[in-house]
This record gives sequence, C-alpha cells and structure tokens, in this order.
Amino acid sequence: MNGNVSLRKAKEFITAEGGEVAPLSVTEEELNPDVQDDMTLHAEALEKMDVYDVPYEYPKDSDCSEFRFFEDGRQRTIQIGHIRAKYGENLILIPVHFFIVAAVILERQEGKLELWKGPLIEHGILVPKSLVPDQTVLTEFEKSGLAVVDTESQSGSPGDYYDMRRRALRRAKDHRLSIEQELIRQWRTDDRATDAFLVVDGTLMNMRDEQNVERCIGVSKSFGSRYFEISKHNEIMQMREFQRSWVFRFHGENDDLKKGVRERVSWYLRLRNRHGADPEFGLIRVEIAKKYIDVASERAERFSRSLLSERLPTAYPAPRWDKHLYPICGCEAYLGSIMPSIPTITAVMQG
Amino acid sequence: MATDVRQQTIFDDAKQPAPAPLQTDAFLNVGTGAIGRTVSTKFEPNTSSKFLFWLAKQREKVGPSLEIGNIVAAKSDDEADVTFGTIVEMRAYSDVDSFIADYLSHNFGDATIEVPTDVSEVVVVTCNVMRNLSLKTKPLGRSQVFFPSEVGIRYAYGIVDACGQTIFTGAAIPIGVFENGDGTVANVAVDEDFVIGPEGAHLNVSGISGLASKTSAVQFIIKSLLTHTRKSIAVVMFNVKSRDLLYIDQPNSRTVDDAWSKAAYSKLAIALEPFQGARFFAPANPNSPQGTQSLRSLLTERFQWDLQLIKNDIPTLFDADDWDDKMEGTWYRIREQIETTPLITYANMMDWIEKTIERATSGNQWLYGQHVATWNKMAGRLRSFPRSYKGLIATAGKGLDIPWQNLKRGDVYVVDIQMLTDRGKKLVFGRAVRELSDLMESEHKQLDAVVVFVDELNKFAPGGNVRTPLKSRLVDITSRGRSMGLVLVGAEQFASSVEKEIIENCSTYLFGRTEANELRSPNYAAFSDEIKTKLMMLPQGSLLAKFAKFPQPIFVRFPFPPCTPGDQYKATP
Repeated sequence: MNGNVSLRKAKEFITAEGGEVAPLSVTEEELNPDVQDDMTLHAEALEKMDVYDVPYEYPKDSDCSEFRFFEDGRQRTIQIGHIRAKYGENLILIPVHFFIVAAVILERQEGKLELWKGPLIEHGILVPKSLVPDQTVLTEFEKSGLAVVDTESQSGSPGDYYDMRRRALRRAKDHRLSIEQELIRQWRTDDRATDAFLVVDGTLMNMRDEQNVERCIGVSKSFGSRYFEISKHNEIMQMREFQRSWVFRFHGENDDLKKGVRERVSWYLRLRNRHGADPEFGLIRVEIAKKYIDVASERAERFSRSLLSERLPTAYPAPRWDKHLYPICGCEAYLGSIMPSIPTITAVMQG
Repeated sequence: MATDVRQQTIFDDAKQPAPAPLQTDAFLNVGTGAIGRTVSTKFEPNTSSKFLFWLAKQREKVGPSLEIGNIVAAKSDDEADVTFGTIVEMRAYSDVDSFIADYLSHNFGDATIEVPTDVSEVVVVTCNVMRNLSLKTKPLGRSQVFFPSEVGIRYAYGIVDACGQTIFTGAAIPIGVFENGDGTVANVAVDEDFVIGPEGAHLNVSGISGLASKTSAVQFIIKSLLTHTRKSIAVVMFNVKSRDLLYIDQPNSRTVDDAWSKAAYSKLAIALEPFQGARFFAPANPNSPQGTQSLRSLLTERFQWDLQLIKNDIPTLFDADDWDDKMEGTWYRIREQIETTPLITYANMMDWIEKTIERATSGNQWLYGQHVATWNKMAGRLRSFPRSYKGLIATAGKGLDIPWQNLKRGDVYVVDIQMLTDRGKKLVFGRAVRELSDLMESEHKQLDAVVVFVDELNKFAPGGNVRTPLKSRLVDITSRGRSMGLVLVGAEQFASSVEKEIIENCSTYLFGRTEANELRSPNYAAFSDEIKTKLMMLPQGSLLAKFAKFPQPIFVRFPFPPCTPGDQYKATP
C-alpha cells in the first residue's frame, strides 16, 4: 500500500469511527524537537586527555575518505484528527496520528551518490487501540492493509490527550529506529559492503544490535551534555580545525556494564573553523563500536582523516551546514523526496 | 439486458472498420531504454504545450548525443498514452543554492580542491509538446521518457497516424531526413497539397550566403517534388547570380562520392540524377545576335523582346520618379499609335516619336495634349532602354520569347538573368510571372502547377512600405497562387528583408544558418533561445523546417544536390 492510499484509509478510519478529520499543519517532530544526543552518560578517557592534530594534510588529503556508505533515517508524525470515546464515565478525545518512517543508505561510486538499495519505508496510523470505540471497524481497517500501531500506555493516565500525543511521537521514533536497524542489518550482510564502514547520522546509542554497530561510524551534530569537567570540556570547545579530542568510552549512566549494556567509543572532531563563530562551529562527536576500545586512538586518527575529507563539499545553506556531511545531506534530501509533504497530507485529509 | 448508455454520435452510422493502431512500444526505441522521467514542480508545472523531464543517470551514455531539436517520447506510467516533444531547452542544475555556497564548498575559494563527493547535478530538459497518441490536449502526467522509433518520429510530425499510415492528402514529398540523438533516422516529408496547392503553397529558404546551402536545398527539394508528385507540374528557375543554376542538367560527382548522400537518396526514393532535359534561356547577346549573354558554356537558348512583346511592360521600365501623369498621358498616345499604324519594331516607334517632336514649333509647343518637353523626356528614356536593358529589347527584327506555352509536365526551365542590372532582372522576372499567371489562369492549362524558384527574393519583393507592381504581383501570387497553381519558391539571406505577407503566405519555411541580428526579428520570435543558438551554428546541409502541418519546427539534414553546382562545373575536354 503506498503512502497516499494509506492516508486515504486513515481518513476513512477516522470518519468510520465517528471522529473528526482535522489535520495539523505541523508535525509532532517540529512541535517537539529533541536533541538526540542529549543523554546522561558516564564517560571515561581511553588516552591522555589532550587535543590531538589529526594527520590530515590539506589540500593533499581532501579526497582521502575511505567511506563509501552513508545512512540516515527520517520520520514524520502528524496529527490528522481525533475520535471521541468513552473512558469509564468520562468522554475523552483520542488523537489519531499518521506516521511515515523511512531509512536509506547511499553508496558513493566514483564520486557519485546512488541508492545502495531501495529505502525501507513504513506508514500507518498511531492510536491507543483499546480506547478506539468501535473495535470491529478497527479490525476491518487493519485487515484491509492499514498499519495501526498501538500507543497504549502501560502506566500513567491512558486517557490524557497530551500524553497520547507524546506517546505517538515516541512510537514513531521507535519505528524509525527499528527500520534503520533493519536496513543496517541488511547492509552488513551484503557482500559488496564487506569490510566497508557505514557513516550513520546521529548517535549509535539507539542501536541495540552490537553486530550492527560494529562497522558503523555515528556522527552527532548536536550535543547538550558535558561528559568531562568544565576545564577539559572547554579544551574541546577551543579545538582548532583538524584537531580531535582524546578518545573516551561511554555508556548510559545508570547502565551496569556487567550486564552487557550498550557502550561506545567516542571523540570530538573539529571539521572547520571560522573567525567569530560560536564554539560549536564545525564540531562533531564521532562514535564507533566498543570492540575498538583497544585500538581506539588508531581508529580515531584513521576515521577522523576520512571525516575531515568529507567536510567538502559543504551542505551550505542547510541548517548546521558547518558540521553536516554532504552525503548525509543527500540521504536527507532523498528521504524528503519520498515522504508525503505536510501540504499533501493536509490536502488528502481535506480533499 | 444491459442498456448502452453511450450517447449516440453523428459518426455512429459512418463507422468503418479501421486498421488496428500500433502497440505503444512501436513508437518507442525501447532498446535504448528510458532516458529520463517527466517532472512537474510547483513553479514549473507541465502544461498541455510543454513538459519537462530529467535525464537519467545513464546520461553519460545518452547525454552527449541528446541535443536541442531532438525528439523524445514520454510514455505515461499507465502505458495508455505516449506524448511526443521536441527539445527546446536543456538546463543543468546542481543543489548548490548560490555562488557563495559553491565557493564555500571549495574550501572558501580553493579552485584546485578535489572533493570525495561530486555535487549532485541533474539535467532538466524542456520539450514543446508535438502530438500524443490520445490526440487530447492535456498536461502530461508522470511518464518515462524514451527516444521515439522511426514511426514515432513520423507520428510526432503528423506524417503518419496511430496505425503508421500516412495521413497526408497529397503525395509525401521528402525534404530530408531527421537524425535523432539515438541515431534513429526518419524521412521527413511535406504534404504535396500544402506545397503546390490547393491547401497551401509556396516555400521559402533563408540563411547566410555560402553557409546555409539554400540553393542546394532547393535543388534537392525540387528534385524530390518532381520525383514524388502525383500532379502535373513544371519548374522555372531564375539564375540571379554567378553560375548557380546553370549546370543543373549535369551530374554532381560530389554527391555520387558521398556515401551519406547516396544513402539518403536511396532512403528517400529519389533517383540520383540531375535535371536531365532542362532548358536554359538567357538574354540575347547584342554583339552576337544568335548567341546569349549566359555564363553557361553548354547549349543555351536566347530570348529578346521586340516591340510587340515588350509594349505592355514599357511603363515598368521607367524610374518611379519619372513616371507621372504627363508621362503616362504621352505613353498612352504612343501606345495608341503602336496599335493603329501599326508600329512593328522598336525602331519604328522611335522614328514616329522623333517625327512627332519635329512637328513642334515655337508657336505650338503642345503635341497631342502634352508639352514637347514631356515628349523629349519620353524619347530620351525610350532611347536609353535598349542599352540599359542590354540584350532584352530588339530594336529591329522579330523578337523571340521564352516558350512558356510549351511548358509541360516535368519540364524544367532555367532563365539566366545574372548578367542583367537589378532593373533588368525585375523586368524578366516580372514578365515571366505575368506570363505564367496568364498560363495558369487560362482555360486550357495542362499543368496543375508551375513552381517558380528565385534567389534573392528580397530584391523582387523587399520588405517595408515600398510598393512596386512586381511586389504587389508576388504578394498576390502567394496569397492566391495555391488555387491557380503558381508556386513561389523564394530564397534570401534575411527573411526580415522580404515582404512580410509573402513570408507569412508560405506553407513551408526553411531556415539555414542565420545571423544573431536577424534572429532578433519577429520572424523568429517563436523560437527558444537555444533553438536560435543552434541556428547560429547550424552546419551546412542542415535546415530548420517549419511546415504548416508540423506541430513544431524540425531540424532536417539533406544530401548534396543531384546536379553540379555551377561554380564546380568543369567542361569535359
């Protein structure tokens, strides 16, 4: 079922449930931007806490990148209407969200980007299933092919309108991460990708499959946490172009290492400088799998060289172009082109 | 029983078993595969007259061969329709938002930097819609774009229908071949009924001298016309400069030696033979009464007009400034005398005039109502004409005209007027046009059409407000000649220098290489900038053809002419 058919079915579903089709003009993602890297972590240096010059000679090394594969995922969650339902003695409003999630890997061949393989896409609606008033209608629509993802809460107050909206957004994100991981799983088993590394947009902490993570390079552009004491962190903020921070290992602060929690090796890297720019200009944080803990410094130098080479061409004027990698920007552009736009969703709902 | 709810149409009773339409893929070059997909954006939507497509990434394969003027076929995703378009614009886009973005991409202005990823680029091609299989006027939906097959190209130009059958009402007259980007070659033909009437007529060729191959093109097309026409036609050509047309009865060794030309003649079913049996005429040589003034070294027939032949044209020999009411009155009296006496020769006429002038005395300066000064002016002008129209006017003896009445099917006459002054050329051409008009309007005409070819048409029918009898006659011929069978084939450097009405009345128009200044004139307003650029660089042997039945102009290539260009003729020892 393609996205437009799914949208039309979603509209029919709301109407069949006696609800009201009332699409918002903004997505939940726009209403609730999350800082994906903003997590509480426990970090521990793997080498002397100093800044290092990456062995990158410009302009000789400007196209020395060893990376060929780039991955990104995207989600779009939009409230398209609501259904009135009885919850105990109370009348509640159930928000109905349409979601579409997609992930893609681009492969670079002779300087040109192309799809490594068709993207993975999923779309459907998000509702707390048990609260839907007419369960028969719900079942019929599911049988007809409309994907209905349950946003039922196991705790809290199930009838809370705002809580239901937040849960819809979280479920969409879970879905997006899930198809991203599935795509990466397919990629790592592809003969063409043997020994190659995959540059992934964002943190690798969301990936639970360690096999998947093994050949991934996570690149985070935004960070809201400080992992080291202020003076050391300031050293990172003052790094010059082509410098990297010390390598460190980290894991969730509440995770118990003995229980095999997710743990990653990471470092900061300054892609570019600009006079008068903010301290984070051109600053990225790189993550790789924990299996490289013993060779962390060597890997940091090697991958940093490639990442420095990826700083050109720039993705200007994309937001955060100073730290955006052009191929990742290509992934985003591709995903944007295959996902229905807000005007399209609104038009289908109102049409 | 189910009721047929279709509305009955007036055509229901007239239904005939029609041939089956060809399969959609028959119109496409499927072997080359899709070369792109149509694209319609918020700001550049596809319309019923225009569509855009992006070139597929295999463009490395097809890109170099795809160019302005190529034809493409867009097959709708539901495979229900194919829309044909001609490429009028190609733009290469990148995702670079601005010059400064690209500057930044190269590390703030490092022109030598090499980057691991090429900036994404796409070539977007704009096409003017020509025709579609559904014959409906509608914007194009999402479609895959292919090169068309040969039958696809011919369908696009309205030469054949969806069954591949020709839809011309008259014979198909090849004017060259169309070579598409994928190497497909298709015959390009025009409808006889729109070239020599009755539906439309006349052909015009313009382009830079020496580079546009105008004369060669006309020679080839006339050969094609004589070969393929189903009508009874004859051809009259005027050689206005050099030896251009003086050896059209001689074979062209260059054509015979050129493989492409030979193949083209074969493909277009035209015999590679010169205009055998053509007759050549030229003004008599005043120094050798039985000879001519022609530059042709082979047999040429002379013509020279005595008073009886020229008398109707004499007023046209005068300068417009000289010809006033007094002169007209004087000529009226002379003309009366020619009929009544009668005055047989030009010399007889001059004698009578001189004697009349001698009768004037100091007491009577008025002769037949006109002052003797007017008579003197008239005598002076008439005396000068045999000299200024060298060889055309016989002052004594019997004249000899071009045998227009003998023109019969397949005849080709070449009238050599290159040696004459502009006035002399106009006289000969004007007389010929009048004689041919009379011939074609007579009740006993044996020809369906006479094709008259003249180069430097701008001399005979210049643009602007100047009105001359000859120009008016040419305008008249191009506006109604299609019904009487007099067809004008004109050539000139600049279409803008020819009377607008004449150009507009031509159903077929061919553009050779053209200068940038000329391309700014309104005649070319309908062409895109890219088409104009291509016209400026058009190679010899190629023309842009506009035809009444073509939905869009088409670039055609034609072979060398079947006959020797005059300047290349070498007499056999």
